[in-house]
Amino acid sequence: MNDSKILRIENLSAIYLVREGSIKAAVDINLDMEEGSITAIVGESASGKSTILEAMTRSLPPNGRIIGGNVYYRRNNGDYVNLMEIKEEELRKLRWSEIALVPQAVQNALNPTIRVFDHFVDTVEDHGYNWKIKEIWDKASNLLDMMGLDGDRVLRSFPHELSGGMRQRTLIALSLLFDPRILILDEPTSALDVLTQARLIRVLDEIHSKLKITMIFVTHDLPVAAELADYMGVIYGGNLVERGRTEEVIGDPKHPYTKALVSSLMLVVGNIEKIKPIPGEPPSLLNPPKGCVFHPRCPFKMDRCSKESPPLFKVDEDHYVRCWLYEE
Amino acid sequence: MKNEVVMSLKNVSKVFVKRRFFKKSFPFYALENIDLNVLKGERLSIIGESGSGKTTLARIAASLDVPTEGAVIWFGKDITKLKSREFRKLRPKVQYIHQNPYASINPSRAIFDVLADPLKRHEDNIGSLEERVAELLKSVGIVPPEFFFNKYPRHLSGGGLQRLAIARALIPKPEIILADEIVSMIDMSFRAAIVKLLIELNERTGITIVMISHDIGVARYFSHNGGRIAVMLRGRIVEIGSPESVIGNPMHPYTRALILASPVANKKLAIMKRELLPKYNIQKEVWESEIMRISGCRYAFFCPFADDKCWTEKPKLLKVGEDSEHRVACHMVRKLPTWELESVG
Repeated sequence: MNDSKILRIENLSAIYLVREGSIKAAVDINLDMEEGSITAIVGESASGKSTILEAMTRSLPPNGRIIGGNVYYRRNNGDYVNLMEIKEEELRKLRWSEIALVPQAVQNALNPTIRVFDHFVDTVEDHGYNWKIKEIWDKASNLLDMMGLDGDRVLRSFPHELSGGMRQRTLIALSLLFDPRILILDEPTSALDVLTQARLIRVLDEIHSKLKITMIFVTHDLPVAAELADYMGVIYGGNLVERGRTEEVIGDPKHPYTKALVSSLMLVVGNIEKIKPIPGEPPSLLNPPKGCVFHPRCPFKMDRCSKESPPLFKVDEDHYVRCWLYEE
Repeated sequence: MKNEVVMSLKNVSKVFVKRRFFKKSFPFYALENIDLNVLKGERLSIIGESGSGKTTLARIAASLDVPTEGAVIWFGKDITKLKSREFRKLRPKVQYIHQNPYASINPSRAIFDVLADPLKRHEDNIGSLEERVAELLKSVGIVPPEFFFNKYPRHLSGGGLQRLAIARALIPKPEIILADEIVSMIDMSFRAAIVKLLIELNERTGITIVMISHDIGVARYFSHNGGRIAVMLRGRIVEIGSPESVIGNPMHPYTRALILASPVANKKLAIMKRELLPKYNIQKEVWESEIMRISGCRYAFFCPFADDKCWTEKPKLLKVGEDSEHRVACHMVRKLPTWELESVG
């Protein structure tokens, strides 16, 4: 195995059981992450992008089932462990201390009845570390300073005294408490104002270059992903349809969906005449279309597309596309 | 014809009294002395961050809320002074589309009924109800219409629901539509389609549309080619003009900061913007009450250009440059450097 990869997701599939049947939220996902890189997983709501994060950390809701696949995580000593197979107890130890997950809408995740500092103390105690109060304060204060906050003041505050953006950054600081090697963020910028969002992007970029941490984040906001990530995976209808270096995926998209998505963006710069809406509706994951999930909306549709689901084709170094147009 | 004013807000203010525990309460101006004319057939975007008062402005303009001070004028008549019988005649001419289509449409009524009920109420001789409903669904791109007659709102996606909400708003044959953040709850891939639908509606029927949004990119697309954009900051309009001037050559430091903070899906440009942002925005956390206490510009705390005058004297919305429609409320207009992104945009 290639040693520069810290995480390899192989053929990961997950479903949700509902009354009407099963929702195929992640279908045969293949993705790997270079150590120290930032990877963005981009998709629309209900495309299954958060499912990937939850499946790989085995934190799916009760009706979620992983139906196959492996997730290899390379530990500090170079050994790979399969997160799908290790015992729950071992996985619990890895979570937060080595792999930290910041879930969606965390603005409401802080306990309103205790001070911010007590959150740090609770976390340390819960994970069985024997740190002195002074140590925790210094560490927490440092982390908060790094997030562009006044650490000492925030630690003394109650959560309601902080703005949404401050709470978001406080939680990211909390997740960095044990110097994890991988930081996973679910929709870190949704529900934030433009200026607050710009600030958070900047902060994430700074902590990434300072700590050399591997970051994975999920977002529905393609422009945000493009500003922050080195690599990008595009999810559509539970399938990973394209992945590659950000500049290539955005600058020279190959999959018809990515192409359409990029040209439907309404940005503050660029040629306004080129903005083109995408026709059609996204697929139902309960009864996904046969063959390629995008074929009902695809302008390049061929006969084959409605019959067989395409595999991931390699179009360039590190650039893969799930589309029959790129068959060798 | 071109400059006929169909709706105007005259010196409109909306004040809430904020109470603080054990402390003195203070007045919170959601809107402060707003003067705004909406022209017949135009596409006006109102942009601002949360708390800027953009929704309050739209609700007051649509008469869903009353101003604390000032007058709201529809088609030359002050609606606060109209008799209720006269007002009821005007009411259908101004329609409001809500932000959240999942909440604004009754989930227990079939799609046919969602449109048929108001049709029966507003049209005297409908002819065939089925035909009218089909026509409406088709006009907003829900096709084939007959297929959806007996479906329920849950069968539509967010984008589909918003189309249905637009169709419903068209029933009373309005002359003005106020659309409040109608794309913010919708998936990325539908957004452009919904905004395009509004543009086409405006071009085809000449209906006046005011769109509220927090996304400058959406406003730029909606108002391009003849529309206007107004930028709001804490209850005041700080800049207004054509998209070419407001985004192509913004003259308020806040507008510049907003544009620089919007992501652009281009790494090189993103780095350039990130370096420019501190030139127009000081990052700090300031309490709402502190901002409301100063008598000057609401941006003074965050503005690197601010001097004494900015803290004490409220700037007026004044014309800048040759473009007579471009107005900015800033004391420092002349001190701003040349806009750096102009060449890129």
